[in-house]
Amino acid sequence: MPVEGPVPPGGWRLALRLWWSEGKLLAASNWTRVLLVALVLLLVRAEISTYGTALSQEAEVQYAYRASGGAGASEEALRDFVRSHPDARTHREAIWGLHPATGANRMLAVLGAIGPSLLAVWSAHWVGAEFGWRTAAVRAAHTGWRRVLGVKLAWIVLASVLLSAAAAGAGILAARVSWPLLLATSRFAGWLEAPDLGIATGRQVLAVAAGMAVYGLMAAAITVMTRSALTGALAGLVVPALEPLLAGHSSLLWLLPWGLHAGLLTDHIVYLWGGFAGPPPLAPVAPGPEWRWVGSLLWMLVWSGLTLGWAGRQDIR
Amino acid sequence: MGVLESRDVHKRYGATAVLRGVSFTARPGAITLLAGPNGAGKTTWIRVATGLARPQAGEVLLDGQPVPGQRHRLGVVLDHPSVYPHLNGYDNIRCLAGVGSWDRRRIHEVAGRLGLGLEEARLRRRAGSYSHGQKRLLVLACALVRDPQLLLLDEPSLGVDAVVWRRITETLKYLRDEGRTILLTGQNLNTLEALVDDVAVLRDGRIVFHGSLAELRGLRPPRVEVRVRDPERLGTVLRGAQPVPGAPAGTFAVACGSRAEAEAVACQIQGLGIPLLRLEVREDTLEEAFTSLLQADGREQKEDAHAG
Repeated sequence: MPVEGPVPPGGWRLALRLWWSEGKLLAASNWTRVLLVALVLLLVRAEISTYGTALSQEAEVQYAYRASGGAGASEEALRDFVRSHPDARTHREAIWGLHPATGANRMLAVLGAIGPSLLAVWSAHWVGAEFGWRTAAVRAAHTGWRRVLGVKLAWIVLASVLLSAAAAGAGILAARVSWPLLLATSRFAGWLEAPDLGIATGRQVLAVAAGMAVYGLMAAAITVMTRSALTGALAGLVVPALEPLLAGHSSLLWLLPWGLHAGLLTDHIVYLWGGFAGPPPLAPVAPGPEWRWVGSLLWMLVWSGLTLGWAGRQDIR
Repeated sequence: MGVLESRDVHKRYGATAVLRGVSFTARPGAITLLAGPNGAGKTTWIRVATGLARPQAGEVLLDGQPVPGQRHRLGVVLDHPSVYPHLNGYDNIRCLAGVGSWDRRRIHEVAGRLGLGLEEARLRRRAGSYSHGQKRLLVLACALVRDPQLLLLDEPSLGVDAVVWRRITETLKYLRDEGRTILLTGQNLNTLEALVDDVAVLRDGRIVFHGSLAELRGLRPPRVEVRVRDPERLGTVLRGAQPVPGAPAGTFAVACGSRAEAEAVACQIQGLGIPLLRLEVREDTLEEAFTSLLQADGREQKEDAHAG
């Protein structure tokens, strides 16, 4: 008796299953583990470095105080110097750099610097592994290559946000350890009031995630077009380094992904003196801050469209 | 339902035409072998049928609709057993089966049929530790979990031992009896002969034969093969006897029009009273019929080229 065959799963069921599959592959990937460990080590290193800089301000402030002619004055005068004197600004910032109010900010500054390359390398390997293991063909035949890639792209964007949020959370948690330690060893730390960065942590998270997502999607697109994880990963490392060189030559080049990412970082991350990560090189100026969001979103759409369009016409081996 | 139809499929890679108008059908409830020498275009045809490669012309249809548009009815086993080495068997099945059933009972049922589920612990192991044969069973399980109406298998017998191959053939026969459409490719025709019902032969990107296995084997008439000590005596009795190339000395074949005629000739030879070392009524095996077909087609092509 001929059989009718299975009923195709509904859209939501198919989407959920694909979402689960990609999440499983993502979680089980060795590259995910290696890059997460590398990121954690870097963030720990950044925290130790920031702590060391803040701790060294005990002697530095004394020196600056004497240099400004305040030698021999009372502790009250020293406290005023530390709190408000222009010559003590860098020292204040170095101590604020470890304050719980800046915990998310300092880790996001680090992630903003290395995140785009990190996510590009990871995305390239995640997408490219399907060609390496030759599972792309089976999945394309059973599920459809565009569907598979569409879910992968969605995961890349989500991973950018999750990674960014995790870095912010790690910063907040780290500050709960570092700041009490600093208070116990530095009298200046207790003199300073909590800094007000004036930017919501959620916006900071999204600003960093936007740049990471753009480069992650770019690496995925190049990987799909070349069928090579290595090419995608190299592009993710080389392109962010080359773009600043180009961007310096025209005011219109703020539209490049790097210009937009640097602009978003400058708008949303406060770079305090003594921090582990410094501000990005001067970004070409966009017509308005909101254009950086729009530009980043457009780049995400461009890379996603390119990936899916290419996948629809691609011979898969 | 489940008629697979390849309709005038053309596929080129650069200047090389790999498929040049491939047309044939595969019926449900039958196992069709797509045979052909190396480079004939079998794998390319599978890739076109599954949507992995885009043909320049033509299409492959299942019940009149393009196969890539009916992925939920399709199960594919490609020539290379592709698995995620870092995932266990269960997760491989779930990821690679795609929209197929994720029901654990269904996975166990399929895996059990293939002998993979005899030890549940095996499915919990990372697929990277599987042997080649186990990987082949795993990718077959991925296709079967989908409960496919159409099953396409590229070189399923490649690199598997006799035990694994028996499990695969038993499963394929079971699916055929359920009315599913099964098409496979393969080089080891002796192994495949007991499995297939229909054959389509590809040569240089075009179909040179399409029909049942019996029709292919019947392209050359049956013959009587006889081996004698004294060929001289036989030669005087049966003028049509021809020496069999490659056979031991004294082996002759007598071509006949039908099996009945062949049996009559065999009786006649037996009645001669000469000592016989061997006497057999022979029909072509799949491999012999295939080889003979390709040789005949090759001669035709040469003649055409010569005439042209």
